[in-house]
Amino acid sequence: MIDVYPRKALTALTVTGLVVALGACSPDDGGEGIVVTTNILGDITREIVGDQAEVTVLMKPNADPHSFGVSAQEAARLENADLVVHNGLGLEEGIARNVAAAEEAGVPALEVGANVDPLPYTSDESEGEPDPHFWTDPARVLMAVDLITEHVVEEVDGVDPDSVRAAAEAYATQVQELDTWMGEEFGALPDEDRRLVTNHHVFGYLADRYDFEVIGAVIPSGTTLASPSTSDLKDLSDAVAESGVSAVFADSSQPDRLATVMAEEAGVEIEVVPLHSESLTEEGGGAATYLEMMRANTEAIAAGLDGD
Amino acid sequence: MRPLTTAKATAVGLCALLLAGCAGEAPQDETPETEETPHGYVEGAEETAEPQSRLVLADADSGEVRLVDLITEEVTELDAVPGADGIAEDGRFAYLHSSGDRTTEVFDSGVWTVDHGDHKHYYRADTGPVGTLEGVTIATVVTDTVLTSAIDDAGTSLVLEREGLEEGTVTTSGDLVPEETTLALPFAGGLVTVGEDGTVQGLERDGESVQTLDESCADPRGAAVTRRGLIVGCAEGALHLSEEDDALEASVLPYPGSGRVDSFHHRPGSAVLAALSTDGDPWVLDLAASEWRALDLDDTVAVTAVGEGMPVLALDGAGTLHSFDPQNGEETAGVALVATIDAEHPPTLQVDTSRAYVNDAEAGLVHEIDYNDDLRTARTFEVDIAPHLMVETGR
Repeated sequence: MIDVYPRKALTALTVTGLVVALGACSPDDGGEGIVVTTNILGDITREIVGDQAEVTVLMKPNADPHSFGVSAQEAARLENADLVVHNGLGLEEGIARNVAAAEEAGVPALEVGANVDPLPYTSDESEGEPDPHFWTDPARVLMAVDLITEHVVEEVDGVDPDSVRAAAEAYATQVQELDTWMGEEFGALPDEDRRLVTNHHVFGYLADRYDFEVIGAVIPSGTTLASPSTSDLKDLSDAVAESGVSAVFADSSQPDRLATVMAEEAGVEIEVVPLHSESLTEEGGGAATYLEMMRANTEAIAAGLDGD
Repeated sequence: MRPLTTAKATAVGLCALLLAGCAGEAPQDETPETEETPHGYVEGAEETAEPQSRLVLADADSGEVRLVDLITEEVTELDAVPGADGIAEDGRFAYLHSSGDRTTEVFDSGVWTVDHGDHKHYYRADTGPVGTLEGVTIATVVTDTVLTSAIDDAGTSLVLEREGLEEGTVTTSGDLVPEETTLALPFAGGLVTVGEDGTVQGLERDGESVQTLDESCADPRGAAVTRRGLIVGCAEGALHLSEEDDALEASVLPYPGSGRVDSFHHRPGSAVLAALSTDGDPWVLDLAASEWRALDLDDTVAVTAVGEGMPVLALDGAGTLHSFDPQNGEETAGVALVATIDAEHPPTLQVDTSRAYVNDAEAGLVHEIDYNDDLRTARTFEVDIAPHLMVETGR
C-alpha cells in the first residue's frame, strides 16, 4: 500500500522525538555551535567558519534532503544551537518541524533559500512555487556565502569576525571562478544544444543562469526495459525528438540497457549521463564538496552535449 | 489478493499496540554517544532510481515459497509455509497464511516505495522472514509509516508496529483502541476504527477518540488506501473516508447489484478499485465519480484496476484476460492466457505502473502483461513451484 500521508506521519514521529529531547535537556542559550541541515550548505558553511566554531551537518552524504530526519539528540542540538542554517522553501520536509521548534525556542535560524532571490518552478505540479534548489546557480551560492558569513559573525559567540570574513572571501573567490568557468564551458555549446533532457527536478537555476532549456522526461523503469513497447518509451523518445539532442541526464539503474532499448525499439540514439543533484557524496564519490559536485556536473553536461 | 473465504474463521479479539514513547528513540538510547542514523537513510538498504518490483509466490500444495526479482529476474527460495492457502501484502511485507493452522508468516520482500506526494523514493534491501502471527489468517493489510493493520479473514484487525516489522520482528501488545472495536486502520496520521455495532470513529495515534462519524459500517471486510482516501467494504456499501481540513469525512457508496464486497483489488494507491462481489460479479469503484459500475463479464475469477483513465483487467474462468475501459465498460482487448484455471486457487492479477502479472499455477508460470499494448505478453517467468498464490511488492 502506498502511504498517503507520509509527511504527516513523519511529523508525528519527529515531534515525539522532540518531546523526549526536551525532557532530557533543558533549552538554554545556545552553546552547541552551528547546526546546518543539508550537506551542500554544510560544506559551504564549513568553508566559511573553518575552525572558528563547531559545525554540525544533519544530512549525511548520499542522502535525500526531502526525507532525512533527525534523532532526539540531534533535535536537542538544534534547539541549543547558536545558529541554524537551513535551505528551506520546503526542501527538508523531514525536519521542518524541528527547525521551526528551534526558531520558536529562540535559536537564530537562516533560511538560505528564501533569501537568495528564489525562482518559481516552471513546470510540474509545483509550478509557481519557489524552487528550493538554488545551489545549481553559483551566483546564488555567492549570495548564500555572504548571508551565512554575516549570520555567523553576528550570532555565534567567540568567533573572530576577521578570520571568518577572510575565509568567506577566499571561498567566494573560488565560487566566482567556478561560475566563470561554467559560463565558458557552457558558452562553447551552440545555443540549440543547450537543452537538458532530464528526470531531475533540480536544474532550473542552472538553466536560468546559463541559458539552458530543461525538458522533463519520464525514464522507462527497470521492468519495462526487459521487454518494452513503444508506449513505454514514448515520453522519453518524444522529449529527445523535441530537444534535438542525444544526451539524457538521468538516474537509471541500467543506463546501458536504456540506451540499447531506445536505439533498438524507438530508433532513438541516446547517451545516458548521470548527474549529482541534491546531495554530496562521501570523499572519493565524485562530489564530496559543493565545488567538486558542480565541476563534475558541468563536465558531464558539456561532454554530453558536445557534438550534438 | 484473491477473494476471501469468510466461512470458517472464529472472531479474533482485537489486539493493538500502543507505541511506547518515541518510535525513533530506542536506537539512540542504546548508543547515546555515536552518530545517529537519520530516518531517510535505511541501514542495509539501497535507494534506487526506479521501483524495484518483486513477486512473492507460494505453492498451496507443497507450501514452498519463491521470490522473483522482476529487475534481475533472479528467483530466491524463501522458508516454506506448510498449508499456505492465502497471501496479502502491504507494499513491502508479504503475509502468507495457513487457514488450517491459523497462522500467518510475515516475509520482508526487501523492496518498497516511499511516496512523498510530488516524488517517490525506491529502496531495495535483503529479503527474509520476519515472524509469525499466531491464531490469525491475515487477508488484507493496510499500512502507513507508523502502524500496520493486518485484517483477519473474519474482518477483525491486529495493529502492528511498522518499525518492528522493519527491524525484523512482529510486535503486537497493549490496547490502543476500545475493546468492542472490530477494525482499526491507520489513516490520515491517526486511526479509523469500526466498532462491533458499526460505529465509525477517528482516533489519534494514542487511541484518543477525536471524531465519531454519522455513517456506520456493518460487518466490515476488506480495506484499501487510495489517493482519494480510505475504502472499507461494509454490508451496506463501500465506506469512503477522506480527510478535509484535519477532519474525517465519510460517505457510503451502495453496491451496484446483489451481494457485497469483502476484498478490493487495485494498483496500490489507485482511486479506481475493482472487486468481485460475493455473488461473483465484477464491479468497479471510481472514487473520482463516487460511484460503482458493474462490468459485463461472465464467470470472472479475478479483477483489478490500474488507475484513473487506465484499464480495468479481468480474467474469466476460461483463462482469457480482458481489458475494459472503466468509463464506459467497453472491452478494449482480450487474450487467451491461462490454459487451466484451478478452481480452488484461481489466479490473481497484480498491477504496477507499467505491467500486470498473472500467476498460472498449472503451467508453473507467471505472465507479465503490458496492459498499455493490447495485453501483449512482455515476459514469461518459469518457476519450479505451482504458483497458486502471488503478491507484488516494491511498487
